[in-house]
Amino acid sequence: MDILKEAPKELDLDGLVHLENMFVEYGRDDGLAAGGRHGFIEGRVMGCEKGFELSREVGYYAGCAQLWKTIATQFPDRISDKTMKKINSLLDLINTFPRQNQLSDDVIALLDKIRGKFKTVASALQSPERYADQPKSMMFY
Amino acid sequence: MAWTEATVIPRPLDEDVWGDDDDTCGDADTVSYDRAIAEREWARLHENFGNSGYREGIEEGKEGTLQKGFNQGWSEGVQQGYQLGELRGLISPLLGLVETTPAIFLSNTRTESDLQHWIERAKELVKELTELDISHIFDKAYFDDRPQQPPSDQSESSSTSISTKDKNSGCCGGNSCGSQELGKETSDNQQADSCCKSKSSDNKAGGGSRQEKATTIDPERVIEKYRARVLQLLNEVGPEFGSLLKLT
Repeated sequence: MDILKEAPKELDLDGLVHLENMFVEYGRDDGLAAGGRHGFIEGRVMGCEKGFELSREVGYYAGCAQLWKTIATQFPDRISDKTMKKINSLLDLINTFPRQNQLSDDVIALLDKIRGKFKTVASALQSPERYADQPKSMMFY
Repeated sequence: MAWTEATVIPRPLDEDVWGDDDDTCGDADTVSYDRAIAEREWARLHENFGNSGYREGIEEGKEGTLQKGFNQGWSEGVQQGYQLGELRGLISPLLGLVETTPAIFLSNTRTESDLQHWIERAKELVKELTELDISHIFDKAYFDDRPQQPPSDQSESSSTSISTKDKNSGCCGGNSCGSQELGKETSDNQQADSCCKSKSSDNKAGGGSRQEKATTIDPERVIEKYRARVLQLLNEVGPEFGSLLKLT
C-alpha cells in the first residue's frame, strides 16, 4: 500500500538493456530460421536455372556429337578420320562437365572450350548446327 | 519462446488493482495508468528491437543457406537440362542430313510422302525443343515443396544422386514461400514441418498422395514425352539411330 516503498530508488538500466537485448535475440532467432529457409529456396531456384541452361547447351553438343558419330559408322566416307578424332575429343571434354558442383570459373572455362571444339567440328562437317542462345527467361519465383 | 509470444507483461500476483479504500482511490487510477503506459512501452520495445533483430537474423540466415540451396538446385537443373539439350542434338543434325540426302531415309517401304511427313514432324519437334522454356519444366510449385532446413539429411541425398527416379514434384503447394511478414513464420513453420517431409530420394511415393498439387509439373514426365517422340523419329530412319537413345 505504501507506494513510496514500491517506487524504485534508481533507474534500473541493466534491466532495461537486458530487456532490449532479449527482444533482439528472440527476433533474431526467428529471423535466422526464416532467412535460412528463404535463402535456401532462393539459392535453389538460382542454381536450378543456371545448371539447367548450361547443361542444356552441353547436352545439345553431346547429342550432335553422338549423332555424327553414328552417321560416320553408317556412312564412313562422309566423315574423315581427322574429324572423327575431333568428335571424340569433344565427347571426352563433355564428359568432364560437372553434374554436381556449383558454378565456378572452371566450369565457365570448360564450357567455352566445349563451345569452341563444337564449332570446329561443325565447320569441318560443314554443318549449320549451332546452339543459338534463346532470349532467356528468368524464373521469378 | 518465440518473440511473438512475448506480448504480455507478467503481473505480480498479489497486486490489487481495484483498491476499495477511499484513500487509495487515487492509487488505483495511478496504477492502471502506469500499467497502460507500461504495456505500451513493452509493446514498443517488443516491436522495435524485435524487428531489428529479425531483420538481422534474416540476412544472416539467408547467407548461410544460399550456397547450399544453389548446389541442390544446380544438380536438379543439370539432370533435366542435359537430357533436354541432348534430345535436340540427336534429332536436329539428322533432320539436316535427311533433308539434304533423302536417300538415307527412302527405301522400298518408305515413300516420298513418308519422307515429307517425317521431315515435318522432325522440324516441329526441333522447334519445340529449342523454344521450350525452363518454367515449363520447373514451375513455381516445384520449389514450393519447402525442404525444411537445408540440412544434412536432404542436401546429401538430393545433390549427390543423379538417378532419374528420385525427384518429387512439388508438394504442399498451399504454403507459399513468400511470406516475410513478421510473426507469421511461427505458424507457417509448424504447418510446413508436419506436412512436407524432406525431398529425400526414398520419399517420392510418400510425398505424393495428399501433398501433390494436380497442377504441378513433373520435370521427368515432360522430358520423357519428348524423348519418346525423338526415339520414334530416330527409329524411323534406322535402328542404328534409335539405339542412340537406348544407350543414353
